[in-house]
Amino acid sequence: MKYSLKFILSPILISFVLIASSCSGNTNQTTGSDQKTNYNEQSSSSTASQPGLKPPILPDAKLTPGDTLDVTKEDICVSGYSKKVRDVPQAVKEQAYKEYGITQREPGEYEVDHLISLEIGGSNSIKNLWPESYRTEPWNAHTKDKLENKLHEMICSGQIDIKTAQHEIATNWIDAYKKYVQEQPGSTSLNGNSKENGSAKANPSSAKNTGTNRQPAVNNSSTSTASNTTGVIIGNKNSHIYHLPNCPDYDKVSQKNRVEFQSAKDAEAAGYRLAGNCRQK
Amino acid sequence: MNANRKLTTIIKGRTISSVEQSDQSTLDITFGDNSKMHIKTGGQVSAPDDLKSRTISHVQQEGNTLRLISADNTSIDIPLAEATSSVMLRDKDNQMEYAD
Repeated sequence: MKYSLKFILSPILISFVLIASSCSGNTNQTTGSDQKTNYNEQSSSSTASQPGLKPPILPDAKLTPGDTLDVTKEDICVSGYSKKVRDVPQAVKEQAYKEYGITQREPGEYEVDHLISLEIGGSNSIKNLWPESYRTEPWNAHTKDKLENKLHEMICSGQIDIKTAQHEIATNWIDAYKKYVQEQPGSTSLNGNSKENGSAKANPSSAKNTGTNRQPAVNNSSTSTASNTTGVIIGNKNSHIYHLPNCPDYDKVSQKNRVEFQSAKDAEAAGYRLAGNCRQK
Repeated sequence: MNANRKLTTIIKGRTISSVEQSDQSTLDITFGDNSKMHIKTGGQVSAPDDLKSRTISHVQQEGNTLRLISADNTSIDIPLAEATSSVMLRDKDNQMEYAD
């Protein structure tokens, strides 16, 4: 009878352990982050486990505590500052994906993003990089870009000091967004204006499909033309080339050159042309 | 090893006037124009004095190694603390010129 009970309980115990470990996120990989302030003290927060939100929405604090360059407000508020910082090597980006257990990805699915953005003094260290989803709603890489721009603007206008901004974005960027931009992406902002109205940026919360694996709204009809395609379109300010969400180079446009359009038609109206490797059949 | 074009463009032609290594974690290179390159190192740089008087021709970087190549085609490898975020260059007025 003793043995029978053990056999019955063992699978239950094993299942419990497996479920518990899968819920705890990726905690068995660490980086040498002991020399830096661990800004991000909250591990995968409750936000990340809410229905409809697929991690990583917030980075894992152990893998991505945040890291900064030894720069001042005077450094970062100079025009062209971000261009002085070397691009993150592809090998380091791949390391970030690996650390987060992302072995397969589609073009336009993730951006290896700086937790503390370059424009507010973040570094290229692996401790400051994480694969951030473009597709989760409403908290995604596009939404975070708005916070980064806002914090940079506030630092340079003296409304917030650089260390505070770095700390807030690293601790919980979603909370920082709610505090400094608006309560909810797409809603009326803290100063009464809709941040996204009238801008060329796509509204990340406007997509109708809010599933966790949402493909950006693209007209995939085999007979469609680029001009009929809608969704988040990424343009490159330098080359005046734009990329659809399903294009191979969609997530390769650097932050400093990135511009977003609501549709391919808008991009073309602004003088952009579709990337050569992105022709629809 | 991959070229570091961004850094090469900036320091090409500059001559190293002094080198200071404090413990095994930093190396400070001062160029003739008084710009300074601060490097977080991942270990002792062998014979740092050999860097003096070298004029930089180009720079290569891969993984945790930064390679400074001189006009006379000799080179020196500097072990970096990390593959990124280990090098910062400031001009004589302390304006940031480059960070990786």
